[in-house]
Amino acid sequence: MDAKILMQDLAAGVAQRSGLLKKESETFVRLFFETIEESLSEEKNVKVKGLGTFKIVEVSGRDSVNINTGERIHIKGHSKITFTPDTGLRDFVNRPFADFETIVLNDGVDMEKMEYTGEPEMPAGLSEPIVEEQEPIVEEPVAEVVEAHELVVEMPAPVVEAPTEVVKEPTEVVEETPAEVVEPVAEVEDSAEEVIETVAEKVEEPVAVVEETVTETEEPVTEEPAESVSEPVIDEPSGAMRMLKYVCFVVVVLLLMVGSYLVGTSSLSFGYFTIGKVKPAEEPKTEAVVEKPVVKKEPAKVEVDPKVEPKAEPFDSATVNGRYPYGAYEICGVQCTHVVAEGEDIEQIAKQYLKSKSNKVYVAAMNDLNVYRPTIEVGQELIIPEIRMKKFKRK
Amino acid sequence: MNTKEFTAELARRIGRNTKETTKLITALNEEIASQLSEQNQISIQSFGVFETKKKLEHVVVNPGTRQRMLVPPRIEIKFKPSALVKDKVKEL
Repeated sequence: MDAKILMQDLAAGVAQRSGLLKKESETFVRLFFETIEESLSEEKNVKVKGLGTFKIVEVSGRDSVNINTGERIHIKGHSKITFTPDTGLRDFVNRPFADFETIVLNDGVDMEKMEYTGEPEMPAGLSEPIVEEQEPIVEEPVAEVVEAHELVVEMPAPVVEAPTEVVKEPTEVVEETPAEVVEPVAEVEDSAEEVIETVAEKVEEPVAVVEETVTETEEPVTEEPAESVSEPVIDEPSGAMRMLKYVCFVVVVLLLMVGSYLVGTSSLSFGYFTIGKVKPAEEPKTEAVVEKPVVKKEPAKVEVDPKVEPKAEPFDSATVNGRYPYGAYEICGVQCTHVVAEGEDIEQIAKQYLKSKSNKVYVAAMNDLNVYRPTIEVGQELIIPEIRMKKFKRK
Repeated sequence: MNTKEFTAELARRIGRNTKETTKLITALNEEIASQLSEQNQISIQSFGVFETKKKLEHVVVNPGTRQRMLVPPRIEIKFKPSALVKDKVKEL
């Protein structure tokens, strides 16, 4: 590694490979490079199979500035040698990385965000572990339900689809699975009670799976709620309630899977998923489960709404003034609200109302946006602040 | 100058036939490849330096389509001509 190989070492290697005497191979290597050099000056282009192509390329003259004196100087045009390695040699040296390919990034992928969260894995690698984790749970109910009743076969199907979406955004799964699972429940309630018997068995099995994953990720808290749910389900006399609880359980299991996977990557999302998990265990209404995550998913919008209200009330300058402490201006009131139109960005809006596009910082502060990455949508209402020059105290 | 002409020229200089010379060139290329793949620097006094450079993965943008692509990390071969050769070529 990183050793310096001289012509002699190279010649020794050639001697070994070809059975030539060391002295002979040394002259051969020397002549080899001499020939390249001399033919280059004659022909501008020397191609050696297995090594590469040497070429003489002309560099045109250009003007430059002497960095020491600031004097303008002209660099004359000249020629230089370029070397393009043979594809065989290039691939041979690049063997350790040969399996990688250039990936086309979609518009949605934000590389800055990835670096921000410190995610060490590549996007492609992320998908595999989750899908593998989900599979055992999803498949087991399918097998059993097929025996019990044909109607129920449709039920696990949406669940199977949901985990694939986990890859990109865990919140989407939370939104979709409860909604889709609820439909089959209605069907099952009407139909046979055979299903309910198998349900009791089914409920126990996911518990086992959940406990496994829990111990894997070392998350002791989740064990207790999981067990406490399984017991009342079996004791419960009403079939409909059982189904509801089962549905909740599927949701809980999904949340746990996703949550436990994310434990390592982000402590914030872990906190979020434990909230989602405890809720259904206490009150077994699927609607409650659906609502919670949705609210969490779009915190930006929820926060915008209460902000629009104070517009009607007398402006409380004390709370807003502190938001953007820098700059020459201070926020002294609300000018109006602006509905974002197609193709507009925060800079244009700032220029329109506040004269300068650099005053976007005040718009951003007023609307709790990130100045550098403002996420504004068409139709969103932005509050345009009234600004005035700060009064500087003079000593 | 292609490989055939080069081999003929080299054969003339070392006083061997082209078949032998081709064998020797292959042996030399193999040796260079194995040394480079071990990240070794090959320094030929009067000619220049062959070395490998590791390049990290990076995002490139196709200026025509504005499409972004993630280029994987790779090991590249670089050749730096020696000052002597450089100066000689400069005047061509």
